[in-house]
Amino acid sequence: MRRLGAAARLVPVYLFLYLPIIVLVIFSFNSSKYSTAWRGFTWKWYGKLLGNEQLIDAALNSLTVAVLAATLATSLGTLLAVALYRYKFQGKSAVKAGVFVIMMSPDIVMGVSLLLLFMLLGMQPGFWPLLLAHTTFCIPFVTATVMSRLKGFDPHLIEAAEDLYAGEYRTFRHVILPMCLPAVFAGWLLSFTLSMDDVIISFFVTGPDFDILPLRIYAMVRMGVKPDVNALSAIMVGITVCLVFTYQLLMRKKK
Amino acid sequence: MKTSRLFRRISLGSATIWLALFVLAPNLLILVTSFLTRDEASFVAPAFSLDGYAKILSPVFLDVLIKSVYLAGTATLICLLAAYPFAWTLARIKSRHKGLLLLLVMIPFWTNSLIRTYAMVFVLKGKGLISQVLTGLGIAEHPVSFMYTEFAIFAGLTYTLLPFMILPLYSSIDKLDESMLEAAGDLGAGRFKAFVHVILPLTKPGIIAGCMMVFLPALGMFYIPDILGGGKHLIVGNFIKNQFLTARDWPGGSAASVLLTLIMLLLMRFYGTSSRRLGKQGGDEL
Amino acid sequence: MTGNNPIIRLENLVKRFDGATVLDGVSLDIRDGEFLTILGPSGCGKTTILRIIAGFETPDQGRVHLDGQPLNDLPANQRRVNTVFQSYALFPHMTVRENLAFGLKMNKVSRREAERRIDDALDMVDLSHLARRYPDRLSGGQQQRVAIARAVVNNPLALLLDEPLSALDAKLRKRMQVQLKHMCRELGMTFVFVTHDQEEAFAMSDRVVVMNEGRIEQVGTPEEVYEEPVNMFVARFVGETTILDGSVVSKERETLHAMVEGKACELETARDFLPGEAIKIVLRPEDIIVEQETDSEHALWLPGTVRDTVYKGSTWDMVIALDSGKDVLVTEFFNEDDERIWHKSGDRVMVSWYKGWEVVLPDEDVTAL
Repeated sequence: MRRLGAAARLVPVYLFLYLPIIVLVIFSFNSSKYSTAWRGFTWKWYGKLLGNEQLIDAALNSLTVAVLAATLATSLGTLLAVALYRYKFQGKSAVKAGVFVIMMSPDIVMGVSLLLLFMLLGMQPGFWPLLLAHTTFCIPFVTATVMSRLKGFDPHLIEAAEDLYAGEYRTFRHVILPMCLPAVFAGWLLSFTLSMDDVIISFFVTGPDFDILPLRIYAMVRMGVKPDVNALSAIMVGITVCLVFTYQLLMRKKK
Repeated sequence: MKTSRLFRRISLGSATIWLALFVLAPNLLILVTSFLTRDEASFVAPAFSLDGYAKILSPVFLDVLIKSVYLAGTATLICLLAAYPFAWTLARIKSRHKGLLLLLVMIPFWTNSLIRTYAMVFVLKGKGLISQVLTGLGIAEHPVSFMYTEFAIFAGLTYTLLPFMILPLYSSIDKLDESMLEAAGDLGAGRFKAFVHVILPLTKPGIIAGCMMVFLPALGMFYIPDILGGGKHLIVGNFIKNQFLTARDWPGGSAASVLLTLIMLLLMRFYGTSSRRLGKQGGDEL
Repeated sequence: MTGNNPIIRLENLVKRFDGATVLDGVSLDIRDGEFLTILGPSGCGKTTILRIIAGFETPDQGRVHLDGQPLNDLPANQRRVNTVFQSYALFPHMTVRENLAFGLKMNKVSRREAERRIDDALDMVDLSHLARRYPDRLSGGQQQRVAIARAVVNNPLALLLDEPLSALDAKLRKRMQVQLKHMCRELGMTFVFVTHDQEEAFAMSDRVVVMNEGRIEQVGTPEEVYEEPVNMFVARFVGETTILDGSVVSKERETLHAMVEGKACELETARDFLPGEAIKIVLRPEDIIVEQETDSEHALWLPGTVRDTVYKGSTWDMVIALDSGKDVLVTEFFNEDDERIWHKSGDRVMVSWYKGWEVVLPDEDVTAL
């Protein structure tokens, strides 16, 4: 009886979350172009994607930005997390609160504020503003991920390292970093995903010369349902599933 | 010792300076711009004015604001009501597959929200999922489209943002000590009273964090009204976007952004006071 | 104040978790107004008994009666017993006063009455000045007292305490033990206390229940349990022991002729033994006599060497290695008039015990075979 009750509360929500995606993936294999009815299985929409140079370009651009932004954000965010964990300094609570505020702050505000900044600095919309913007909104997420891992450690480990003559850098390099490496990778993956997903901030900081995948999809989706968009979405969902599994493996608590 | 000092400065300084440069400075720019004058040639003229704020007090914007708060607020409420029993069950279920069940929430959480909005089109359009169910059951004679309605926007917001409500709720329910519930029962509280007096206050940080993570993005996600609302329903996000990119009224757009930031800070303060007493709970992990 | 009618009666309780039997037919009468301690190693099922009485667990078999009424199907919130949790389980979002008021509010006690009872309870645990604080601003000992007051304020028929002192430091523990015992008398309330600490159990209880592997091994006053353990488990678990091996030669009334550590001697016991049966002789450290010369007054003299001596303030403890291979624990109390020289490590000594203070038990390791 209790299991039945639990199922009754869980299943509808899962159905709500997954049914639309599943329908979308199924229709990416539908050979009919217009009809919503099933007209047989086909790979042709996936083939058509490969022929769409504009789209391939946008995808490559997105990948480049995501990899670079994730790497930069992971470096900076990890250092910040370690500094927040280890050191006492003036304004520490302000920095901590700041990280939290940035995570929560509405994308649209961050988008227009960066637009203003780049205009003032005289930067043309495109690759560089995009990279800077993506790195910026990823840093707090990396910091939070690494911090949550660090909090689980015995604080005496650092004292032990110092007791054994390691300076601050070597304590970081040989003790702290190896301990939180899974969280660092997880932070990278999270940043990569956030960068690949962002629509709103990118909308304000990139230009027609540097098209990226989410904005390309946005333009396509506004035109209504199209089979090649279905195929592209299905691929992206597949990639996400793989990323989530990897992330979970990395963040799994050691027993 | 010298490398130690250097390392300390770099580790703390690099990200702090970065964030000051690309978050603090731009936000100050927005604040300054909101007090400047609109200028056709160079977007803004360096003269003090309150035109920006006059704009967000104008009926045009107030309409948008009220509508946005209504849409985002309702979506938040729907998410909360759907997510709480779900998160409760998930957090307290004793099953070998618990990890998998949680993972199934993480996947939509990570999936591109644009794609998920697009997936909603399959549900809402004429001959879509709902329409087929309705005709199949004989409730509707002809295919019905729900696209470009208010309902479509609720559906889209709820669908994309539900995982953002579930996860903070889950983490705060998961931290709830079993002995708190036993103590409530031991002292004579039935299920309802235990929920109102003990469970609800103790999971409040999770509730507020979840509401924040749904409500704030819901005000700004301009592409959901764009795609599902057919541009008929404007939200604050659309308004700000239009002020900057179409209407070229930067002070007005900036003033609206400042307002949005203030709403966020207010909610966060609320979260801070509610979670302080209970120790750190939820919200800061994702 | 101890009455003889049981306030709580447990009948043949059986409880299994995932196939493992945690309680295996536990029956127990808890008397009105007594301080009863359930003592046992971790995992022996003692906490489960408490949780069944409180209503957090349902037994797979057996019955629970409270004040003559069966209460198997009554949910926890309708039982007139209250629990002091090991973790205290104070509501962090309520002040001390609000924590105390919670149970009264749930039971719809009138506001005036509630105020009076809360004041009394706070007074009793000496926390009136902290009533408006939140639990996170209190020390461990203060939280502990709030937890007790929150339970007591409801006037339960029995107060259930689940290892409530385990998080306190040694000194505070001792103080709380005295206070708890005092409260039990003062309130005339039944206390059911669970612990794994034998000293704690003895310090407070009217009766002690010793448990092992889901079964009750012995019920009795602290003296009975300490001095007359019914089996080897109780003997070993309750206090320090020295155990000597032996075998029965013959038995006449209360006198047992036996071979102990290879030497013939006479023992006293009320138990029945058969000739040839393997036995264990259980001795407490304070039962043992150490001398440098033998006399005929005592049952048996065993030669040995002093291995370690430990100064403990009021006592002087020794470990003596017998020539037969056993280690013997000895506690000697200081006596200023005693002219005896204190033994040093390495001294050769003779060991015996005060006649009749020994406990003779069947050798369970052998009977089990």
